[in-house]
Amino acid sequence: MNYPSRLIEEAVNAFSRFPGIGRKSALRLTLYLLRQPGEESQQLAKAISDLRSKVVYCSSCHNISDEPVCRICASKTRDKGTICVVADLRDVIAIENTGQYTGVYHVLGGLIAPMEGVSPDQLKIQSLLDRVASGEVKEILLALSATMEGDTTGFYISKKLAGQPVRISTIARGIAIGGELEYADELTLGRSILNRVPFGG
Amino acid sequence: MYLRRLQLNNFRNAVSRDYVFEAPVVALTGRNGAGKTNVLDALHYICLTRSYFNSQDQQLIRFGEDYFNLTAQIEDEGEEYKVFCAYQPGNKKVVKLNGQDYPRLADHIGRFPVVMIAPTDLNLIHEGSDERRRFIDMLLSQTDRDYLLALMKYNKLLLQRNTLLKSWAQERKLDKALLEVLDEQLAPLNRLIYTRRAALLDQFNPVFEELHLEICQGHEKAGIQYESGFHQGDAATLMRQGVQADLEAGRSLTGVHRDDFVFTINGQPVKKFGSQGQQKSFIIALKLAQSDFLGMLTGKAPFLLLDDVFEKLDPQRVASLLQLVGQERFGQILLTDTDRGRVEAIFRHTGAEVQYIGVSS
Repeated sequence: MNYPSRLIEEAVNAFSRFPGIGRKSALRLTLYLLRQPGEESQQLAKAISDLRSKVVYCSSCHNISDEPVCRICASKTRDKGTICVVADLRDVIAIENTGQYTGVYHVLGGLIAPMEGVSPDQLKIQSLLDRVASGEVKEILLALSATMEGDTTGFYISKKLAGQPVRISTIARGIAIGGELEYADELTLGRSILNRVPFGG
Repeated sequence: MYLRRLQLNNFRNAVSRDYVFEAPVVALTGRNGAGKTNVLDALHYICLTRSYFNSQDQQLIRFGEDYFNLTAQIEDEGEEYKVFCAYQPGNKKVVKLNGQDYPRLADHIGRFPVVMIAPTDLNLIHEGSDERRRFIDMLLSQTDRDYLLALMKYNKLLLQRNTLLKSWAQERKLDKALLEVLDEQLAPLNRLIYTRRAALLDQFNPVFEELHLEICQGHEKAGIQYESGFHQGDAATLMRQGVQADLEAGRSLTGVHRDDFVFTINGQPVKKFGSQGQQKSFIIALKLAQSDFLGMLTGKAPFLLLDDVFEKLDPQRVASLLQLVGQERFGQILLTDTDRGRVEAIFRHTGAEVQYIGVSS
């Protein structure tokens, strides 16, 4: 594509690096910015540069945070005896939105996948073991994707924790709330039958 | 199951072809390169959404065109079905039954069973063990969902494990706990795949042996012998004992991915000792057994596609073959041959109703 201005071309190049943004969308965003008051671009630029320069990771759970210790870890009302292990920040947000969890988190930063070059030492697994070794933790709740990588990561962590006086649990897998039984995939349905629970319990 | 009509557009060398079928046996005759095999492959594609010969959809498009499509009218248990398949590079493959999309392509595969016998099938005997594993895996996967899922998971885990072993070979770096975790997941899959393969052969071999006897009119006993490291003992134990060797080799040496299926006649490997005629009969019996087996499991006799089978077969075997496939348990037959006279002569005394279609490019 030929652009009338080198400045536009540079902006398009920058935007099109974002996931899910092609060159046409990038051009639309660029033209949108040009039509807006100048302050808006200033604010956007500041937000982006602050994001990169000021963001820190919680020293305890590795969640993205504004402070050295994140709000969840610093909270007095959260139960420090339960750690929910998740792959990344999006999972923390999803679980927080449920309003059902009162413990703290541990963000691994991904799942074990040797083929994609992700080995256990690239994830925050050792620091999880250190947190457990400090003695305060009673339960580890694995909230990982129901994929092979999620399973491997879960097995790996439980192997590393063997012998520690800590309970290891995993989130239940089964039929979605409000889901029609006939549309459930067979694997999920089969597993739900194998792992059935007492009614009302 | 009856194929009533088949239309090809830009499929391989066909610009636009439209065939109407009216008999339980259809003979497509014409010169080499006229496009007879394309008709068989088109039906194979309709049934299994892939070519028998070519794994790449792109290569099935007629040269210079940018798409192909196929339409088949199939009658099954009194109902008319219209199957439409289309492919254009860059877009998802389209498969429709009576104008409706499938939520998953896998739901279509196996709906209309098909078995092809082609000259390239001799590769099953001569090529490496992966060809034979694929044959057995296809047979099992179509009828055993647990097996298919286990196999898919196994292959993925194996890739992960081999990556780990390779990094040890290259960098002398190994996370032992991770290797153990992968092995603990692989062991039960090894056990399941091994058991199901063994059980399949127990069922399959008698069917196969009987069909082979009928084709040869002889006393040669054909069979498939399962070779697996797990005959020696439990998967977990053998995998543990093999870890050191795996590390040295930089890949996994123990597991069902190393299994082989040895084709034998009277206990001797066909690959080494079988004559050309014996090898051909072996393959034909194997494919007929596959058809028979699929028929038993799906309740439908599969379409039988015979590509250039008669030309290289002696009259005695041709006669036994025809007697067999004329039976009710086999489905509609589509066959190709360069020589119409030969086909007419072959079918003259069978009483079978044969439709002849001349194919020219």
